[in-house]
Parts: sequence; structure tokens; C-alpha cells
Amino acid sequence: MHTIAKPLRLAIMLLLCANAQAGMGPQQRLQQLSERISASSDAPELYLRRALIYAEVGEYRLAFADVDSAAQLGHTTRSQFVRGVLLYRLGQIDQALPLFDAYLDAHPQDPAATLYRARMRRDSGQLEAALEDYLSYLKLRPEAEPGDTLMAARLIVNLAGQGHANYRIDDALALLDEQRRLRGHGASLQRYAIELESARCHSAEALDRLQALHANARRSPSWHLQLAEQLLLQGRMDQASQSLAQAEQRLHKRRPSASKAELEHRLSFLRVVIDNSTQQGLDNEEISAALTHYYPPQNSPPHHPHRHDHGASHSHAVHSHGEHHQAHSHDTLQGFEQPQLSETGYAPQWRENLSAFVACLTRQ
Amino acid sequence: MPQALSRINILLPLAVSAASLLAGCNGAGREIVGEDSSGDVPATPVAPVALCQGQESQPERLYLQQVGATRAIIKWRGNKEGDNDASTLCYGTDQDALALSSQQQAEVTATGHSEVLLTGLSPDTVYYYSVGAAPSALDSRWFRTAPATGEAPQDGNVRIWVLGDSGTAGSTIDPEGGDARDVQAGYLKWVADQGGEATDLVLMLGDIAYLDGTDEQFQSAVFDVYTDILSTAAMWPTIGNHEMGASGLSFWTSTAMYLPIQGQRDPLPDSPMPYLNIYSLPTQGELGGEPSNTEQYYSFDYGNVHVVSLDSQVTIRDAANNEAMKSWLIADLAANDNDWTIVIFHHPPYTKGSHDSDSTMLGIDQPIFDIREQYTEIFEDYGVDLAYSGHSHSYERSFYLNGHTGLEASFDPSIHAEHDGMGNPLSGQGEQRYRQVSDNSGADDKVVYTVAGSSGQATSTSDGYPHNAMAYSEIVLGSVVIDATPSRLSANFINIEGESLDQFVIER
Repeated sequence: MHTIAKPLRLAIMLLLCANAQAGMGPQQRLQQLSERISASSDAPELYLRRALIYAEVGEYRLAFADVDSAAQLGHTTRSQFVRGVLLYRLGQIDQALPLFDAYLDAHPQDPAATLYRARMRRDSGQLEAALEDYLSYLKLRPEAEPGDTLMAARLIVNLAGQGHANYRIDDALALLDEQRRLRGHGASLQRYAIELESARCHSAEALDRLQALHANARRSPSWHLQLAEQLLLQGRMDQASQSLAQAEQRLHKRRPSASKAELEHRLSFLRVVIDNSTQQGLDNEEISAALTHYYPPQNSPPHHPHRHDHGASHSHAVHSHGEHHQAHSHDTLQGFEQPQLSETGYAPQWRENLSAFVACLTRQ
Repeated sequence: MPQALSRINILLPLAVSAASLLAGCNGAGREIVGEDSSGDVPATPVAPVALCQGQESQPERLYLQQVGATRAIIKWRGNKEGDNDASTLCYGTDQDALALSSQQQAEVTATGHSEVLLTGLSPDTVYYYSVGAAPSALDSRWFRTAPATGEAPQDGNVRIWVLGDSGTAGSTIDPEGGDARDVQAGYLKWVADQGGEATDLVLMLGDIAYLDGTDEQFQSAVFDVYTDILSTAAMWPTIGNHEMGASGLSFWTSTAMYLPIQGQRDPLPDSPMPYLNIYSLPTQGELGGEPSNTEQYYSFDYGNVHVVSLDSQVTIRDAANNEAMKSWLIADLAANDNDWTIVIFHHPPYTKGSHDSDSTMLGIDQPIFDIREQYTEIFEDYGVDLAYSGHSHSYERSFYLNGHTGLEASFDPSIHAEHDGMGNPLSGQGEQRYRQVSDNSGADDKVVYTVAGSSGQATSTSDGYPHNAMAYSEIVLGSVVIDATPSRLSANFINIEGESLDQFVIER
């Protein structure tokens, strides 16, 4: 029978007292398990469960002692798993990983261990190995969370970004689409696919995917704005303008809020861009040149005319920065009202992505 | 039976009920020819209606899921009379004449739950049903569909009952289940005192079945306690720490890792986690809202009220899944234009009850910090009105808050709360009732955060109790009632005597 040494018992008592006010907290769970262990000392699983609770309250020495007890009672592979979990929590991934390898050799279909190892490999930078585990996990657990699929897709994107020849953005998109087929709508997966398509300026594909969200997203002014952006990129200005009007209409009904203010900024930015292009008959390249003038890529000094005086800013903008750009931008800018970016906002990533948006204008 | 239902049958105006008329008849396709009970109007022949012919069953658990405007799920398991589980169900708008054409065959899950999805229903309409496909429905077997999205119900009010940490009945905490039953009795007394309006929704804030969230514990803590109400109103839960089993709570960052101290994991091919097998929650935006693709977090519309349930126990503990949940939440709220928005999750951002929002408890309560630091800003930016949590076994109701993402010491009512212009926080009561669009900021940017975790036990406090962000705090058994009309939302905390101890109002 496994016995607990006196100092350890004292530590347990102190722990129980310390947590006494927590209601149904760790102390009752420890007590419950300790009673069961006393009554059935050869139940290794109970030691492992108690080990986890000890670890939760920071008593890792007691936790590992329980894992040892379980191993001595013959629960060796399961003990490896729990020991690995504890080591992972302590940040000792190098020691934890071999334990998971051994456990998964014995139990290759265990989804919990597969997911744990996936995360460890991810956290330790072993992206290919992590991806392999994530993909295994998705097969083992059809009800896996969307975040797990998204993580697998992001790993592919990261690997592609690092230049691994075996991984392409298309592979990430294929994974997202496959998982969407398995899980129904897959809105969050679709949104990431839209992000990927947008990032590589595939606005037609992004548009198709956006439109697939129509049933649930049609009440969202943000969705209509995204549509407008993609339509603009495609040079379909009339439709972009209509989508913008839809967004405007829905936004108008919303109560004032930070998210509404941000969308209003985005909306007015796009409205100015679209109006400029339709009124002056500009093509995407000319719009791109104008936007690049007002919002140069990072590392170039931005031009900030008087933010609230559009009329006064035009001539100043043209004369002071015309030399940065091609000749035709000078003529373009003559009548191009500067669209304003919000100073603050809820979705700064959109502002950060402006240069990517501008780059896409010329690549359609 | 709801008050509104004690009315003359509108479909088949019979002098006597169809069921009694047909008593003793055999075979399908029995013809009903009725006449007005007054006798002044000649008998009106109606088309023959074949009625269901089965026997009413008394399941050990019977409950409603996903009751929306046009759909509902009826779910059951077991048979108190010892016979086989019922395999069919009939339903209709006439309690006494459930048409044979309505009969549905149940799907049976690996955990033995029978489930029938009803579609094509009419909004804001009372339906009766019979488990076992009898020709008439018992008085306790009905539900009202939700109004169409954005609409208020016929009676003008959506009534929501909120229970937190209610799952003590049958556990070592409360083997007899007296506390949970007392809380329910208090709620029902309050409802009766207020005119008897029926419950439209039941929200459960986690820790629904102590200690491990096993299937057996759900039976004693939920189905044996709230039997009547669950057969007439849909139950909408969120995952508490005890739903993941009581062992290693902070370690299990996937529902695949569900681990009870006592009891069993559920059998494959269902999830090992009983919560996921008992509940059938919307993942595809079936009732409005952004599809979440997981039952761990979801949203739905109920008329003019939008409800979001977040997973602060499992999903939030993994960075990738947490990011996915946050992105989903933003997309969901961005598409939501209902009058009122309520978010539920288990771990409260502000509490000084049996848990302390100033302590992560070595990681066990990390979600408290995650919710406060990563989610409250989203709630406030996207027009959420109310946020309900449990975890602490107390009732703690905040002021109308914005931007309080730090520890308690950083709370400043003149910055973080709706106030009177002098920095004194408003209570939400009487003349100090809140406006949805804040008078201070001119924006819909404030949320009332409530810990309502005393529906099964009221335990202890932490150092510093009460939390300074709270307008009202008390360690007492009870539950919350939310009433939402198009122009006014009120929330009452009801004790076991059926008295309202705290109330606040938000007006539009």
C-alpha cells in the first residue's frame, strides 16, 4: 500500500486549509481522491487524477510522487502521459515530448495525447511535426474545435512562408475547404480562407467565399463593407457602390458604439475612393497611385495634409509630394479627394493592411 | 399549461375533446366532425384527421433544445415505467388532437438519447407534443416558438430564467438537492406573484452537474430537479469547470480530455464529455447568429434578444482556439442588430465571492483574467448589454461598466462606470436606471456584469469582498429573472422566498 510521509501529509493539510474558502475547490477533490485511494490503494488511475489536482495547486512534488506511485502499480504508459502533461505545464517541453512519443507509440489513436503533442511541437517550433499531429487529431476527432483546424491551416501558411517547397497556400485552402465540407458551414474557416485569398490579391475567389457567407452575414454592415472592398479591387465600381450603400443603410440603424465608429471610418474611406474613381473615370492603377501618394508604404514618410480640410489639402499634396510618384499620379491627384483613415479604431489590422490593399489594386 | 392556453380549441371546434370523442376507436383515419359548443351554428364538417395512436411515455429525462421561430428539438431518454424508450413523437397546435401526419421517428444517439427535430413551425406559436405519439398531449408538454428575429413576442416580453452553479442536487454537496429545489421554488413563487408569465428561456451558467458533470450527475442535478420547466422551455448552457470533470481542470484544453474523478466518460462514438451529448446546441447558425461550428460556444436569436454562450473553461485555455472564439464573437456581434444582447460564460471577470478575480489560482482561474482582459472590450465595443457568469457561489451585480480590465484596485467609478456626473456610480434602480446608450458617453458601450452562481449553493467570500465594481453583492441562494421588452430590460435576483433582493433596469 502506498503511504504518504508525514511532511507530505502536513503539506496536504496546509493546502486544504489554504483553499478552505474556495467552496467546491481543489481541497474537496483532493480529499475525495485521498479517501478513495485509502480504500483502494491499488487503483493507479486515482493516483494520476490526484497528481493533476496537486499540480493545479502548485504541489508538483506531490504530483510527481503520485505519478511514480501509479507507474509502480503498473500504469506505466498512462503515467508517461500524465508526467508529460505536468512537464509541459512546467515548460519542460524537451523532457515532455519523448514521454508523449512513447505514449503515442502505444496508443496512436489517443486524441488527447495527439493534441497535446501537437501543441508542444507547435510551441517548440517543430512546425512540420506539429502539423502532422494536428492533421491526425482532426481525423481522430471530427468534432474538433474550429481553432484546431485554423491552427493546422496557419501552420501550412507559416511553412509556405518559410519557403518549404512541400507547402503552399493552396494546401491551407484545401484543408479549410475539406473541413468545411465535413462540418457544414464552417464560417470561421471560410473567413480565414477569405483572409488568405485577399492577402494574395485573389479578389474573385475572396468574393466568392464572402458571398457564401451571405445567409448568416447579410445583416452585418462589416460583411457588406468587405464585399465592397473586393468589388472595388475587381473594378466593379457600381456594385461596390451598391454594397457600400447596403453597409451604410445597416450601419445607420445601429446604436452608436466603438465598432460602429470604426466601420463608419472604413465606409467613408471606401466611399471617397469609389466616388473619386467613378467621377474621374480612374482605373485601379490610378487609384493605387493616388492612395500610395497619401499613404506611402511603411518606411516612407506619410503625407498628412490638414486632416479635416480636404479641399485645402489637394494642391498642397500634389505640389509637395508629386515627385515620389509616376507622372500620371500628378494629374490623378488634381481631383482626388484624400480618403481619411481613422486615428483610432477597433480594427487596426485593416489600416495596417492598406498597403496590401493598394498593391492588390494593380494586380487585378 | 400556460395561462394563454386555457382556451377553446381553434382548429377543431368540438363540443367535446377529440381525444374523448375518439376514445375506444381503432384504426387510423378516424373522422372528426365537430360543431360549435353553443349549438347556434350548424355543424361544420372538417376534413378527416387521422390522429396519432401511440401511448404517452414518461421519460426519465425530457427537455427542449433549440426552440427557435421555426424549429425545435425535443429530446428524451429512459422510461419511468420500465418499458422501452419511446421512439416516436407527435406534435401540433391542438393539445387534444395530435395528427398522425405529425408523427416523427426519433434518432437515437450512442448515449441513448432520443431526439426529434421539428421544422417548419410558425413563430410565436404554442405547440403541444406527445412523447410516445399519443393522440393528445399532457398539460406539461408544450412549448412556444420564438418570435421572428427582431420581433417581440405577442405578450411583449421575453422572460429568461438564469441559473448559475445550480448542479448540487444529488452530489456530496447537497445529496437531497434541497437548495436547488428551493431556488426553483423561489423563482416559481415570484413568477406566480407577478402574474404567472411563463419562462421563455432557461440559461445555465455552468457547473450544471457536480462534481464531475457525468451523465448520472446531470440526471440528479438537472432532470430530476427542473423536470416541469425543462419540458416547456429550452435550456441553454455554458461550460463550467465541473462539466470537464473535477480532475485536472486547468490541464484539459480539449473536450477529448474530459476526466471525472468519479463516474464514467461517455462511450464512443459520442464525445467523452456528457455535456456535449446531453445538449444539442446550434453550430450552423440555425437560430440566427454566426455559425460557430462547435457546440462549445454558440449564439442564437430569440425574437428581439440575441444570446451568446462562450466557453471560458476549455476553448479559452488554448491560444489558437481562443483566437478562433474571439474572431467568431466579433463576427457574430457585428451581424447582430437585436434590441438586447446577453452573453453567458462561466468565469466572471469581476468577483470577490468564492473565487477572487484578482487571483489566477495558479492557472485554475486564468480564464477570469482572459475574459476581463480580452473579452470585455469586445462586449463593450459591440453593444452587449448583460454578461452573466457563475463560478463564485454568490450574487454580485456590477454597475454599468466600461473599460475596467485591471485588478479591483484599479476600478474608478468616474472612469469605468456610468455615473451621475460627479463620479458617483449609478445603481440602475429607480431614477438611476441605465440607458442603453450611455448618458455619459453617448454610445452603447456599457455592460452590467453579474455573477449569479448561487443557484445551488451560497458559500464564501474572498479578501476584499465586496468587489468595488459591484452595485450589489450578497452570499445568498437564488436565481435571476430577465424580462426584455422592446424598450426596457429589467433583471431581478430572486431568493428562495420568492423575493427580489436586487433589481436594475436598462431602457432604450
